[in-house]
Amino acid sequence: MIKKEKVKLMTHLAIYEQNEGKEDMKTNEYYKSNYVSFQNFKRRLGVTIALILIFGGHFSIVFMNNLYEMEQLDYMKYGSVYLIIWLVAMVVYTIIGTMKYSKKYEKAKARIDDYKAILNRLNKLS
Amino acid sequence: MTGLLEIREIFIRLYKRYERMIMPIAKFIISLMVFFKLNNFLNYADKMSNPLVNIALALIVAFIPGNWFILITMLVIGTHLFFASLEAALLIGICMLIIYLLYIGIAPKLSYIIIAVPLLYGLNLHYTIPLFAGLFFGPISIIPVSIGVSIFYFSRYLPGLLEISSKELTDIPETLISMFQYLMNALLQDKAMLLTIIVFAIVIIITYVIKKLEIDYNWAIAVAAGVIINIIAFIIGKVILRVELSIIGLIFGNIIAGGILAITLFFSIVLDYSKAEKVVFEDDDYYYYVKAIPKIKINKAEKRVKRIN
Repeated sequence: MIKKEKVKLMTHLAIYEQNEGKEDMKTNEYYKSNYVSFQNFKRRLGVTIALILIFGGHFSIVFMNNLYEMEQLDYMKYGSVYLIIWLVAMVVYTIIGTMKYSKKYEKAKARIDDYKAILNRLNKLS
Repeated sequence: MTGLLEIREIFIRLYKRYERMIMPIAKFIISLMVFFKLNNFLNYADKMSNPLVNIALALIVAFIPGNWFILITMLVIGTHLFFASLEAALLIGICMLIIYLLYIGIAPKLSYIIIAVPLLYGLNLHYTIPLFAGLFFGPISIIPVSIGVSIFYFSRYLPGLLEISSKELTDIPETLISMFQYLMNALLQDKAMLLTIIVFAIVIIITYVIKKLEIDYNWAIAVAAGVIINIIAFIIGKVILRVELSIIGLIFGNIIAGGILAITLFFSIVLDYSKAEKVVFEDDDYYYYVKAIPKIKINKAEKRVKRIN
């Protein structure tokens, strides 16, 4: 005989596994600090590549416009400005990334805890 | 009013029941519109302008995750530019990579706004953008809206950009730098773009703040305020910056935008946005094929207690 309560619980579990469950399980494989650090590292790498492209383009324009005065170009000044912008970008993206990925991890953990609670109820019914 | 609410209930019930069919069809239609508009505008690669190619691409987009749509759109743009100018394709490719690394990577869901902005401009519905963004996403949407507006205004400089070409392979680096400089100068001096970005940002913030207030009809007041601020700010900007702008188009566009937002809000007031699900599982005795349809929970007015001392 089919138990309605059991079907309802299994349906909830199956819906979760089909949707957010896959990503939540992957997220839950890490400790929170490791997950946030790894995601921030990927983000910072991406931002660094983007800034290298922007600074490269900007410096190329400066260089081409001052082709005959390249010895008089203040390379230290440009280097310092680029370094400061890069550092500020790193700090900003790390703050945003930490807030975002911490929140994502907490939500995933809460959903997995609900999933485990439903599993326990299902085990008691069986 | 009761009749309208009943109609809404019917629409929402139908939508939730058949969402699995409706979503791919909606994605197909929207992506087809985007690709047709893009191919008509760019039109450098004959094969990409073939309607069958557009339909095939739209069919692919209908069944893949949403993030891939942005990548496919970038590929279509890149392909057209490749046929027009290798340097332009390279430069635009680098710009798209920068946008992806700096923004789309960290906020993939909001990146749909970047594509929606030029599309809505093409449909002359661009005044809906800041109202919709402010009401549904908040100040965080200022960045993708600004990127979308920049992309739209940049498209006007594309013919000028494509005129810069290199005669030999060794000239490519110099051509790239000239193109980059042309692009930077054009965008930084475009007052219309600057005005649009500033006004849209102001409207987004104001609609968001009013929506958050604990007053009756806050959503309606937010839409009305957004429309009025949009009109006034653009008129002030037109006078100060001496930008070309049609006042009649501005007023009509904003009235239509207000109407569209009102209809959208009417249908969006449904809590717990979950879709119908089809799941298959088994136990020791049976295989289960289950279709779960979510119940509609309408947002009830919250009771606010005012203490008068």
